[in-house]
Amino acid sequence: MADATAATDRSLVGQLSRPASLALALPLVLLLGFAFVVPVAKLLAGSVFAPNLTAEHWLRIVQEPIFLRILLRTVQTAAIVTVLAFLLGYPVALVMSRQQGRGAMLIAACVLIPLWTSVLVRSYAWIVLLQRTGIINSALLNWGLIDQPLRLIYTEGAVIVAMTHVLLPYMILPIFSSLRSIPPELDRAARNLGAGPWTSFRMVTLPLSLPGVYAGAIMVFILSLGFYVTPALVGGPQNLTIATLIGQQTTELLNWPFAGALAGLLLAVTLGLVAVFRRVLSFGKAG
Amino acid sequence: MSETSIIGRADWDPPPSAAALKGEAITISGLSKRFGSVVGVDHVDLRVEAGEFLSLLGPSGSGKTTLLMMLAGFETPSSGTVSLGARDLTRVPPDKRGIGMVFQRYALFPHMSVAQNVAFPLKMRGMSRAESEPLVEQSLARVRLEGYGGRMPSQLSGGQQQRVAVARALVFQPPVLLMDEPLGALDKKLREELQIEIKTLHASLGVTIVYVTHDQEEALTMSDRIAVMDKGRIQQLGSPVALYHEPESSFVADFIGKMNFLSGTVAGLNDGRIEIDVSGQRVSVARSQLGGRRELGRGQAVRVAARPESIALVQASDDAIPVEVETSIFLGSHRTLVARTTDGTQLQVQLPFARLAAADEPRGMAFLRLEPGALRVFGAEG
Repeated sequence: MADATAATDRSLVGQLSRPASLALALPLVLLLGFAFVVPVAKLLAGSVFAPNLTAEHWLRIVQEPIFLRILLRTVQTAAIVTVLAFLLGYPVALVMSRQQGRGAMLIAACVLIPLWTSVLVRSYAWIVLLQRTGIINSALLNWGLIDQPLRLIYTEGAVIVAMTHVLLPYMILPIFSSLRSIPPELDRAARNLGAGPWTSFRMVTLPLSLPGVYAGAIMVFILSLGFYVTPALVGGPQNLTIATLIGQQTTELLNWPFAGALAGLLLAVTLGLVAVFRRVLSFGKAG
Repeated sequence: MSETSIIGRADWDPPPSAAALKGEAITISGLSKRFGSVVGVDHVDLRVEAGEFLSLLGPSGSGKTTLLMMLAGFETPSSGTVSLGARDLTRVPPDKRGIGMVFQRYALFPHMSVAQNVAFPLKMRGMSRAESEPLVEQSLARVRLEGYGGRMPSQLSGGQQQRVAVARALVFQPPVLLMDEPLGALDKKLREELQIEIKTLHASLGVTIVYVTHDQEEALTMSDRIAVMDKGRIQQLGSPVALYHEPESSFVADFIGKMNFLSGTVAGLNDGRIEIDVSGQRVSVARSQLGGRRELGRGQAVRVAARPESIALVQASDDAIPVEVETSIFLGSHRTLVARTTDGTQLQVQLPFARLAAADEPRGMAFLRLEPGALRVFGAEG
């Protein structure tokens, strides 16, 4: 299936002349250039020219331990969110891939509707659930399980739970599509050759779905590293991540050069980790 | 080699050498499978003898694949039982049945090498690498793929992949091998090559094979016996020769080989023989030529079935079938004549090569005679 699509795409490109292909790509190139590359370059340039060449802002990140601690916590949170999204998302993708017709549509709707809902709305929903007088605390109080409302919101746990929820579809969909592309007779062949259901899953289905797992994990991890809305809303000021820190620097402190240095660091860390992932994963595939 | 080391395993006791491998009999009784209101397999009774090559032949939707899936354990029967030798398999999960299976689309594990694929069933039986290696080599050699162990399935052609699948299904020396249209995805030449290869393997191993196909030629070539299936039931079970020459229903007659159907009328019954008028020829057939052994009465309409090779081209005569020749097709070993009777029935007649002197190539009007001893007669409704 994927091969066939790729082949058609290639033949379509083959039919277009070079100037025509460039013309088709131009609008997006211009948009990205003006709306993304130029501002980012300006921001990054601002971190070292203020207005003369200076390393002051970059040095500050290293000198004040708080900033590296925030960076470390951001990476750690992203890693936890990625693992949780995998653990929660894989079974859903598996069930979804084995459903036919109505059942598959129902599960797909449950996965996709949150994806189409604004992140803001979903994050506020978590506030409604987690706050001092929120649904969870009132329920626990009513059942007499606790005397005092628990502190749920504005904790690192709240950030992790809410981010996992928001990013879950990005994990489920690539895993689902890679599970769907596994011919069902492979599982049957494994069963026939003496593998129990769990062994067949472990030795055949799981390894063949790993490309989807990798795609989903990289997507969730990268999105988590730069995630702003959810940590800002449910994490509060005590649980700063790199993204909320950058937000604070630009909107509250108007320290654009320092924000530029932080953004440059986030970009470098993200690209670096993606490069490491790719190296490790292509290694895993070869073996 | 290492065969002695695997003897004594509780769950697996193969005979000491591959040559001594014995097939086991399969007994299917009263087996049915319903999907909601649809009946996939309808009360099938069948005994496959040990070491037999039995084909399940039928059009798509005839229930042959569903029946095979119940033998493999992938479908649970709605009722009835399946047993292997003396062991009841009906509720045994597929991984505990110890039956080999070859799938239509190879079903090799794409992330494992050829050797890992073939070693898979041995690994599942707890064999170490050192123990399994010689068996894997031996099994690959059996399908003429020695030295291919290190390749990935994607580097092999379709025919090679299917041979690996056969090696994998046989490496643990199962008493029964199920094959689900294993050659369906291959081209004609390769298919014929592999038919012979599978047949040879069967003869040398003595394993019981149940082979599903919709290709009647394939079934005729390979099988000891064929079960022709339609609408979830076995319509007829018999040797290829019996099915070809003595079909019990017009469905089987039509499905196996080429068959001409003519309408006739019973003209008389005497001495256990039946006289039938067929488009101008009167034929006398024995009662044993009556498909389904039904009772017939004088004047009753019947369908007379004649193979293309049981019709001869004759000189003009009162006791022959006048036809209009439409075309004649050269087929190498023989020539097929396509002709139409006066009532519009199209007939295919196989003319032997000796009769092909260019001068008497038939055109226009011609006369045909049915060879009475080779006919089958069916009631008009089936």
